[in-house]
Amino acid sequence: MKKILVIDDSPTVRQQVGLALSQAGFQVVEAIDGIDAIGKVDASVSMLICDVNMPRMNGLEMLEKLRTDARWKTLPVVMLTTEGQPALIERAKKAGAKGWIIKPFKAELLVAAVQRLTA
Amino acid sequence: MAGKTTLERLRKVRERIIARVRQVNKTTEDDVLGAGRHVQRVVEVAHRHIARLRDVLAGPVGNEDSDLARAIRSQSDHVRQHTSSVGKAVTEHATQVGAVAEQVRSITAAAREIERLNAAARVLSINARIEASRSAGSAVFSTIANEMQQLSKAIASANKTVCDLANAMEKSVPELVRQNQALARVVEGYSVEARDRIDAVDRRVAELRDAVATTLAESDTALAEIVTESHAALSKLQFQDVCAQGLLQIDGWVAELSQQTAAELGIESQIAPIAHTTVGNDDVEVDRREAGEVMLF
Repeated sequence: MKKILVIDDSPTVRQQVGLALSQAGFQVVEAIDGIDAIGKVDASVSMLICDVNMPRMNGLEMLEKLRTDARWKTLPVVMLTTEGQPALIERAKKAGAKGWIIKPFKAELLVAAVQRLTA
Repeated sequence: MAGKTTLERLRKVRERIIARVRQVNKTTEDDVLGAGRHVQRVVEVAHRHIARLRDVLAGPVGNEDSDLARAIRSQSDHVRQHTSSVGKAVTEHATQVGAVAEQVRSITAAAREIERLNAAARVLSINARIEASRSAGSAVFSTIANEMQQLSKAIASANKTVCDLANAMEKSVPELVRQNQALARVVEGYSVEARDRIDAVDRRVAELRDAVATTLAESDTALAEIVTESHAALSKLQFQDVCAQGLLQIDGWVAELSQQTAAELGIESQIAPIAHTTVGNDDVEVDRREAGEVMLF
């Protein structure tokens, strides 16, 4: 069972993403912000789904920090956020994000994206 | 002085806004989490129910290797084998009865031949007696004539027994044949009926298996529908996070107004940090047409 790390400061979003993914057969681990996520990512994690606007360390900062570690250079990360500005999307892309999903997400599309990126 | 009062009022407004927004967000968050748990429970109940249905239905009859399917197949094979064996036995019996009839006919023919030979022996006996009288009571011919007569009587007696037996058998063999034919008809009738019944059972089992497969397929479809609907419900529940972030953004605007007011009034003022910092600087909500969009790079 593939493990997905879901990072969002909103417990409702973590729950909704967790339910959608667990129904599709994924194991879900939660983190409440970027710092929490950095502490929880390990070799058993197949992919990260990360909010952008979060306290302490936002999603883009977390992504940029994550990519400084050689172990996580290619670990798929998809941003899940209400933000839709092209500059932010471009920044995430340059930092090595594999995708950008604008909230509110459609569960089946999110699951399809995760299945594709973890295949 | 008036400026400081204005800033103080703005500070208090911010506090009240933040307190109320957090209260509203907490309430909606609790309810949305509760609704999410209900959605999860519905899907779990559906999964559990269908798994149970599969165990109950598919186990006994839903596949070729189930206990019931094996038992029915075994019983059918058993009946088929036995009806076939009985049929073969009846056929063999008919063959043997035919052989006995043939043997009886041979015995009758042999008896007639013995009768013919005995008649010849009687002629010889008479000739010996004539020869004895001609030779004035020759002891040899007289003895031969007597012995031949005794032998002929004994042969006639034995042959009569054989003929009586052959006659009796000739009468009983047709009865045996009739009984064998009656038995063959009964066995054939039973075989046909047994085959029909077994075929009927096989058809019913196949129908039952089809019905189970259809029911399980429909259950899987229903489960997929429940999951799809639960996904739709989860999608709808996301209003909470979007609204929560939107409400918190109001604090940012009041903070911005406070800073502008302080700058315009030339007042040094410590403005409290905004409750929810964002990476972007868009005041306007994301275009709804883009909501839900998935971009993979």
